[in-house]
Parts: sequence; structure tokens; C-alpha cells
Amino acid sequence: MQMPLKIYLLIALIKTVLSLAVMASLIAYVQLAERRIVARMQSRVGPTRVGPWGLLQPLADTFKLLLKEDITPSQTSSGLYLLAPAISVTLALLSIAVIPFGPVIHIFGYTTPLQITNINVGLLFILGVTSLGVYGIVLAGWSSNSKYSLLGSLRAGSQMVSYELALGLALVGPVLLAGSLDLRKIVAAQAGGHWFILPEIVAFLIYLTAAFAETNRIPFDLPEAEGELGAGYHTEYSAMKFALFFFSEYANMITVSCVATLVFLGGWAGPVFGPVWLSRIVLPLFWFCLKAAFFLFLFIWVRGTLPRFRYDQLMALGWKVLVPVALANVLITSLVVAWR
Amino acid sequence: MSAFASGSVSGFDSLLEPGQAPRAGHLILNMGPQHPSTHGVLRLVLEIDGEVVVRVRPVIGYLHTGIEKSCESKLYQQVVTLTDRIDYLCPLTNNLCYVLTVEKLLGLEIPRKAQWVRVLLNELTRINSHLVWLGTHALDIGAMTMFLYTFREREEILKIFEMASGQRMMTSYFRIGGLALEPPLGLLERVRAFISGFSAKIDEYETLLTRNSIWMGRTRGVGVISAADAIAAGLTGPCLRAAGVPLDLRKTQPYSGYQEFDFSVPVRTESDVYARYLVRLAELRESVKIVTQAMAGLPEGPFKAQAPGIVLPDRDKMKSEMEALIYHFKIVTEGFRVPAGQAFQAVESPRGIMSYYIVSDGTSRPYRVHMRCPSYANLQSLARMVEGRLLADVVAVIGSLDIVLGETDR
Amino acid sequence: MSAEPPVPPAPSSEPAPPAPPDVVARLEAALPGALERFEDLRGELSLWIHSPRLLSVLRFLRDDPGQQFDLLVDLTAVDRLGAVPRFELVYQLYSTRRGVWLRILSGVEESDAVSAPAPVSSGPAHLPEPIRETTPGPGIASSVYSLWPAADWFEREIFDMFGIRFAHHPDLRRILMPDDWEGHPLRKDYPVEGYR
Repeated sequence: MQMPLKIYLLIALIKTVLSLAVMASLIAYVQLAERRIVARMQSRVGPTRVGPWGLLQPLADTFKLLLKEDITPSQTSSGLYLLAPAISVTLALLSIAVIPFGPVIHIFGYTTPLQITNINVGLLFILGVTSLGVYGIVLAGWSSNSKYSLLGSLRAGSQMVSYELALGLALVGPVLLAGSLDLRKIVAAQAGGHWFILPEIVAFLIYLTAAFAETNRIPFDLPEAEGELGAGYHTEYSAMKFALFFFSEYANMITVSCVATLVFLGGWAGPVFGPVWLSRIVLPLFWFCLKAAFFLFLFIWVRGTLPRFRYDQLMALGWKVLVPVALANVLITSLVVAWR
Repeated sequence: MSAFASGSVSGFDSLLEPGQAPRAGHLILNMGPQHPSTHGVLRLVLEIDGEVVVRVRPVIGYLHTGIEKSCESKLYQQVVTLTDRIDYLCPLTNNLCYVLTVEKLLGLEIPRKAQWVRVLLNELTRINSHLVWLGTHALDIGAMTMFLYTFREREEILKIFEMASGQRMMTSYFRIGGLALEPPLGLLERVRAFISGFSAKIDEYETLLTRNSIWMGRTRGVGVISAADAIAAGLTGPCLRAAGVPLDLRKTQPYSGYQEFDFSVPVRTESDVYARYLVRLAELRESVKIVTQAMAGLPEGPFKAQAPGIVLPDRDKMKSEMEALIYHFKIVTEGFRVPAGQAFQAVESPRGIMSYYIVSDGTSRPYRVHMRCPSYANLQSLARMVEGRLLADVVAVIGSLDIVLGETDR
Repeated sequence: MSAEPPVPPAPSSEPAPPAPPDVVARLEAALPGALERFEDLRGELSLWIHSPRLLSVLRFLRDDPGQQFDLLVDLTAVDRLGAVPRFELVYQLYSTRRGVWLRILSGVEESDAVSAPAPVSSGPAHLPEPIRETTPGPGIASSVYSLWPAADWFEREIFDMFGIRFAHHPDLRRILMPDDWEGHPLRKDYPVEGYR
């Protein structure tokens, strides 16, 4: 069933545009959801004024940020200063290219996966791209020529490098069990309810912790700890350039939530029924979104609850707890896999 | 001739230690006066080595409004409104301390009812102040939700203040000789409604923080100062009690009838940020006890002293008695004379020992008013507590000192 | 001295030392001639000390086992314009062990030199050089920083507001007013309104 190139490109274009649009609005609405949920936890109401239930608030925020004066402080290294938010947001969005949202579908006589493109080292690609994201932050802090930004970016650099390791090692366990770095194969290996969260619960917890650090969320939001560093690496950024950092933080949150869903919670697996369009497209997508939303809610929930770590405690947790435990987990998993 | 005018953009480097440049490789970080965690306009000049604070130099005075100088040109009763503005988180404590000092100079006897209402409102003020402290302190350490919880309860206290005095924050409710107004009907019910649910709220705060391992990790063993050092540096209040010194003027030098109340003085010995947190939380519970007792045993009687010429007469008397009208006119226009001499009164503010020292030259305006503000004295200990520790600890320690910049700068 | 405030129970757990013997008599015995006069009014004991002996009196009050005034609660000054000496330093001491207050007062003569604005250095720093006096004299009092580090900012404030300088203070600079401010606002000849 070889597909003509034109059709292939068309489908790819449609999927790319759709994914980006969905991602962009998702980022906006995750942020709205965060504001509403955290407000609820803090006995407030959150934004309710723009549109019904405040649903147009993200739009209003975007317009505000677009219309604000774009200030570039005079002592910045201007090229890198402009480049940094672009790097951040590009890399944050890049990883959705390989994330599968649902099974392979047949539509209008053509077969295509619910994914922009499938590569057989998808997980590796995601890890690589998210690791590169630290460049955006470090460059932002450095090029701002401000001490607070510099401290924030130094923190971000060391934090991300440390936790990248734990994050990667935590994912090795499921990869060994599935025997592939292909995200589709990892999902397929969990078919029938054999979700990797059960055998790999330790890896799951490590992944979750590291994911919080990776996305600079409370309790690991040291790079932008407003209590100490003003706003950390993006102190000197304003208007849309600031919004891009904001955007990439939420994009990263969505990415790590999707990866957690795929690797530990069986991807789009879930009870399906009904006609083909329902059981093959809508329900898998629904289950996938539900699981990812659970992780996103977790991010928001924790933000409403926990205080922030201190820099040395963060490093100690990363290097003295997470990395050794993750290594042990890899060792045990590989022994088990070898035994089987 | 500012730092910037003289061409040196990093002019604050010299603030660290005159004539002493920072060591090579060290960074000078200017924290404040606009910074989210310095609780106002405190400015800290830090010399840091990576994340480690080598030296810290507080710079204050950005909120200086010359209150002591202003007092010298005001009538005695007009000064009360100035005292509100010193520590805007516990205005009633300032009111109380000032009126007690003047009443000492005048030799006034204050009716019991006024004393008890003063104690009641003063303890509500303490709760108010500690709530703001808890919220902002937790916010600095990243626990954002706590801030909104405590401000939710604080709102209720501010409404009680508004009910009593007509003002939410700048109450000026205590006047020389008693209270400004008869406590309104329904005040006690309002207070009771608040107090009865408040202990559960403290429990709620504790479930969020007290056993939270991140919170404990951030606060235990941080900002330690020995009891002897603390006393020598003039550290008082909850910070000193957290160092094991049970100095609480409400117990040791009772004023305004505090000797009639049954409460204990929470003391810890660890002397770190966590101990200060525990002490203040325990103080919240003690304040609840005092408020409950003050409500239960509130005496009947007049709310201001029988001192014509000093205390404003009642409105209805002014309409029927000529003397009352004359006194009212004289007090409002030219004040009242206070015997020459000096007086000093210290009270236990939520932050430590607050004292007023007033010198009178026999006229109706004070010759000199000096406030000893606990924040001012406590802030001196900051350097001792944070030097050699991490940058994030500075924020934790500032929070634990509970400074109010209106008070340090006056 | 009998009119101390009613029952100051010792706050610490150890039993209270017996009621203080007359601090005036003890002071006279230990440092004869240091006490100028005393006043015991409204339950407040004030001792006026001859300024050259101030530091030794304060050290005695802090260290003597019968006194133990370990907490310097407050330190301020009063400008008695027209009187001699013009300024009066006021120390409020408290003993955390005995729960007793004591006020120490000591005069500081006016000096013409202190009326001049603080010298501004011509170096890169915009701050005046720290003032390092070594001997008390007109306009200069002894710093009690060596006894109570708490005195640091109190003395800076007095310097700022009254222009009284303190010998042996580690870092005597303005604290509340801007560094380049002229004049000392709490002096009685400093106007309340308008510019000086």
C-alpha cells in the first residue's frame, strides 16, 4: 500500500498543523486550568471575567503579551538574547513530532499513525531534544548580563544536567522490558493491561520526580525561584520573549506527561467499544488525553502544596538518591529480562 | 550624588565594607530594595561565592518618614495616628505601647474594661501579624498556598478591626485614657465566631508545613544563633524564645492587665528557622486562649478614664453640659499638658520588645518620642545568621526574623 | 529603689536570685564618683552617669553577678537645646535573668565640628569615609558596641539623627537618612518643615 508522495506530504502537513494548533491551545488551556485549579485549592476563584468561565483568558493574555512593549536591556548580548527564547520554544515543540497519540488508523483508504512521524528511536529523540532545551535557559541567563539571570541559569544548567541523568536512567527499565526505543513498540508491549507502571514502579517514581525538575516546576523551580532570584533566568525578558519561555515550560510539561503516559501507563490503551471510528480513533485518543491530563493535574496539584527545595538539597536528592536508585533499577530489570 | 551619577554603575559594591573590595571570584549581589522576599524595601548587599553567602550588609532607610521628628510637633493625642504607621502589621500594639507610656506620664488609671478590650484586640493583632508572617514566610520558601490561607483568616480579623474602630489597618483605636469608642454591639460575637474556628485553621496550616520534609529541610538548622549571641545582639521576641530564653514581657513585666490572663510562653531551644516557626505557631494558639479568656471575663464599666481635660467627653454630655463642651474644645484645639519628665514603656509586640520612650517638657506636645522597634534590632542579627550559608537561606532567615520595614525605618 | 514594677518573676527556670540590692549603692561602692544623680519615678529608675565613666559603669552593670543587665533594649538620645551638655544619651537596660529595667543617662557636649556635614571622600565610592574616633570628647561618646553588638545600629541612628559620634564604633555611617544628607534631623534646631 505505497502512498503517493503528494498524499503523504499532505497528510504530514495536516498532522503537523493540527498537532501544533492543538499543542498551542493546550498550552494556553493547561495554564488556564492551572490558574483555576490552584485558585480552587487556595480558596480563590481564579480568572473568570474573560469569556464564559474565563475560557477566553488565555487569548487575552496572549494579546496582552503581544501588545506589550518589547524591552531589550541595553547591556545584553543581543544576538543570543534574542535567540535564547527561540531555542527554548523550538526544542520544546520539536519533541511532539514523535509522540504518538493513538493507534494506526485507516482513513479514506489510507493508513497513517496518529503521530506526526514515527521514528524507531523516538524515546531517545525526545530525551535528546529536551536535554538541548537547557541551552535556551543557559543562554538566556548568560546573555541577559544580569546577576540574577546568571544565577538562575547556572542553577538551571546544573539541575537539568543532573536530573536528565535520572530521567534517562528511569526510562531504561521500561525500554529493556519492551526491547525497543520505538514509542509505538513500547506501547504495544504494554498491550493487554500489562502497564509498565506495575513492574517498574520505582522507575516511574524516579521519572516523575525528575520530570518535575526537568520542567522547573515546584518543588524544583530553583532556576526561577522568585523568592530568591526575582524571576531567575528570564528576569530581563518581557512581553512575547518572556511568553516564549512560559510557553516552552508548559510545552515541556505536556511532553513529559505524554511520555509518562506512553511509557508507564500503556499509552492510549483502555476499554474501547462501539463502531470503528469510536473504538479506533476517539476512545484511544480520549484515554491518552485522560492519562496525560492526570499527570498535568499532578504538576498543578504539587504546585499548590509543596514548598521549594534548596539548591544543595536538590543536588543531593538528584545525585545521592535518584541516580543510584535508578541505576539499581536498571540492573535489576536487565537481570530479570536476561533471566526470562 | 548617587552611585549612578558618579559614573560607577556597580556603586553598591562599596556598600559592603567601605574600602574593602570583594574577593576575586566573588560576586556582589544587590538584593532589594525591590525584591519579592525582602518584605518591603529592605536592601541587602550580598557578597556571594557561587551560591554561598560570604558577607551580607543590610541597607535600610528607604521607608524613613521621620515619624520621631513629626511626633515632636504634634499634640499628644495626635501622635496615636502616627504610631499606626510604624508597624503596619500590628498597629494596635503600637497604639497600646504609646498610650501606656503617656498614661504613665499622666498617672492615669485605666478602667478594667478598657484594659481588657485592649488585651483582646492586641492579641487579635498578634494573630494578624503572625498570619502575615506565616503566609509570606511560606511564600518565600515556595509554599504559595499558605499565603492565601493565612490571608483568608486575616481578612476576618481586619473586618473585626474595622467593626471596632472603623479602619481595617490604621486603627488608632486606643486613645490616651482608654478607647476611642465604646466597643460596638456584636463585636464579641464576631470575635467568637472567628476564634472558635481558628484553632482548626492552625491545624490546617500545620498539616501543610510542620511535618513536610521539604519544609523541614529548608528550615531546620538554618539561621542558628546562640542564646547569648542573640541577647547581646538585641534579638527579642519569638526569635529569642526559639533560642531558649523565655523572655515575654506579657509574663515578666505584665502591662494592661496581662497578669490576669492564663497563658504560657512557648519556648524552643534549637534556635533555627524551624524553631521560630514552631514558636510562632504555638503563640497563635496561646493568643487564641487569651482572646477567649478576655471575651469570657470582659468586665462591665466605662471604657475610658475619668480624666476631664485629657479624655474627650461623651457626645451626649457635650450637648447638655457646658464643662464637657469646654473640655472638648480645649482638648481638640490645644491638647492637654503632660507633666514634665520622662517615661518608658515596653510591650511584647509580635516581633519582640517594642518600647516607647517619651520626654515631656510640660507642654501639650512631646519633647521627644523614641520608639524601639523590634524589627530594627532583630535585623542586626541577620548577618550573624546567614554568613557562610546558601543564598536560599537568606530568604528563609529574613522570613523567620519577621521584619516590617515600616518599623525599621520609621 | 523599692518601686520597681510589681513582681518581675525571673523568666528562666532556675530560682530567682534575691531581690536586687540597691543598684545605686552597689554602683557607688564599685565605681565611686561615677554616678551623677539618680531618679526613681513611676517605677522607673534612672541613673545619670558622668560621661567619662559611662563605659565602665555599663560594663559593671552588664557583668556584675548582682546586676546582669545583659540586654540593651534601647539606646537613643535627646537634644536638650540650650542646656549644657546639650545631648543626653539614654540607655534602656534589661536583665533577662532578673526581669528588671534600668535607665542610664549620660550627657554629651555639643561640638562645633559635628555640625559640619560628614566629610565626603573623593574616591570612587560615593560614601563618606567611616568615622573612626578613638577618644570621647565634645560631640563624641564612647561606643558600647564592644559590650552589646546590639548598639551597632542604635549608635548609627544617633549619629544619623543627632550628629553624635561614637569612638570605636566599627562602622559609623548614616543609617536611615541618605548617605549624602546634610544635617541631623532630630536636632531641635533642625526644622520640621521645609528644607534646612
